[in-house]
Amino acid sequence: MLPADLPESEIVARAVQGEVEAFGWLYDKYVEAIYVFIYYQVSDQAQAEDLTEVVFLKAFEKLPEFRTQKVMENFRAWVYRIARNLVIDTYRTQKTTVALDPDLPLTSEEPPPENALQLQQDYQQARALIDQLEPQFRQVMILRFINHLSYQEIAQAMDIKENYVRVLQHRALKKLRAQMETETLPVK
Amino acid sequence: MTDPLPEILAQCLDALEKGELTLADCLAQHPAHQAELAPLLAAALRLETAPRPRPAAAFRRNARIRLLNQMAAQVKSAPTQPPAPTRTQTLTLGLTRLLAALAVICVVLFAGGAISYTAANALPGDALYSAKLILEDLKLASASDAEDAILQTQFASNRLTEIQLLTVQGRYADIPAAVVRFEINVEGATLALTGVARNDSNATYTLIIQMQRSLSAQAEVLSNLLIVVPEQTRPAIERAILAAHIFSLGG
Repeated sequence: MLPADLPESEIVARAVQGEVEAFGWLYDKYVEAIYVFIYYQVSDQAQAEDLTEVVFLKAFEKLPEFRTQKVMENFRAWVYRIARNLVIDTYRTQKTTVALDPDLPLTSEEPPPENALQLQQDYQQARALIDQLEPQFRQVMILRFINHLSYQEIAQAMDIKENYVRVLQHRALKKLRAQMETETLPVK
Repeated sequence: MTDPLPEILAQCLDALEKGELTLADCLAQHPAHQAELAPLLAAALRLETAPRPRPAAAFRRNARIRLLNQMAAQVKSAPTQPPAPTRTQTLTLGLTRLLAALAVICVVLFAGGAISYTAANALPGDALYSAKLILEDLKLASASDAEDAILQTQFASNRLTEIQLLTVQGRYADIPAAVVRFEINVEGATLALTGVARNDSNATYTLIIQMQRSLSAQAEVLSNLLIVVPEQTRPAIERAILAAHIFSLGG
């Protein structure tokens, strides 16, 4: 319903002013990516869905803050920051590691792909690797290689300096590589 | 001295991602760091190919409805709104709503349909209007994409009827709430159609034609209301007309 050529900054501005349709557009654009980011950390489909929904509720509540920020971040990085903080809070509250979800969730209204088994194995291996990293490393790896955020966006999402993102990336990959060698997981 | 490898690694990853260099090119550009770089780049590429789980379509749709309903409620209510419920809270809330809805249904059954009639005819600002919306949400919760599209169009038509009735009754202050709900229903119908289109393009075409006819007719009626509502209510009516027109024209 929004004009197709409307820039995202304008859509965000409309959402900030309370335009429901604009916020719906932002939800549609980012819900899947935020879900992936959360799912790779909590390992549980139902919990990932709960937290994803909370992220957008919080984003909606905090929209006025987004408008008043002196340095205008991009909306994507801002929503990821909300998601990251929520996951940290959740871990802090639970203080337990959730067991790996045995199944890669496929959408319930779509038939499973032909290579579902291979996808399942790939997912479990990636999850197993990422899961062993410390939270900060894990987040950088997911944001960079699963969600494809830029270094600047990761810096904004994690509230750290951009240079430090690169340092964390280097350390995390070193650790990841070491794990891959000890566990003889396939390296593509 | 600062370790240059994080920066070199980042440059290589950027170039690989953009397709500007191959893995061999990157390594050739940094011969002194080749031995360290190669395994790190391989590990990064391993993650790049990891599958991305997708949220269930039903979750996406239902969460969207809950979220936009929350927003619509905020638009309607005073500036101070209680915090939005989490889905865990919403589950409790949902149960409460379900029980409330069941209670409404029971009362309806035992009261010979009198209250059913009242709820079905409730308007924004009426005590039973929230019960009417709950019953609509319950229908949507178990609907397929195609059913969802049809239901959302029906509900959008309900909103337009409500706007007309509110105008006739002179209850202009309640019109913006109906407009917001109307936009949610039109958005919901559009989203559901996207789901239908993935599986059945013929069904999508039929649904779009039906929805366009319905919304086009309603938009015409709304246009006539513009001349009778007060000036401050016109922007809301114009928004509803625009939403209906965009969809009826194939938006």
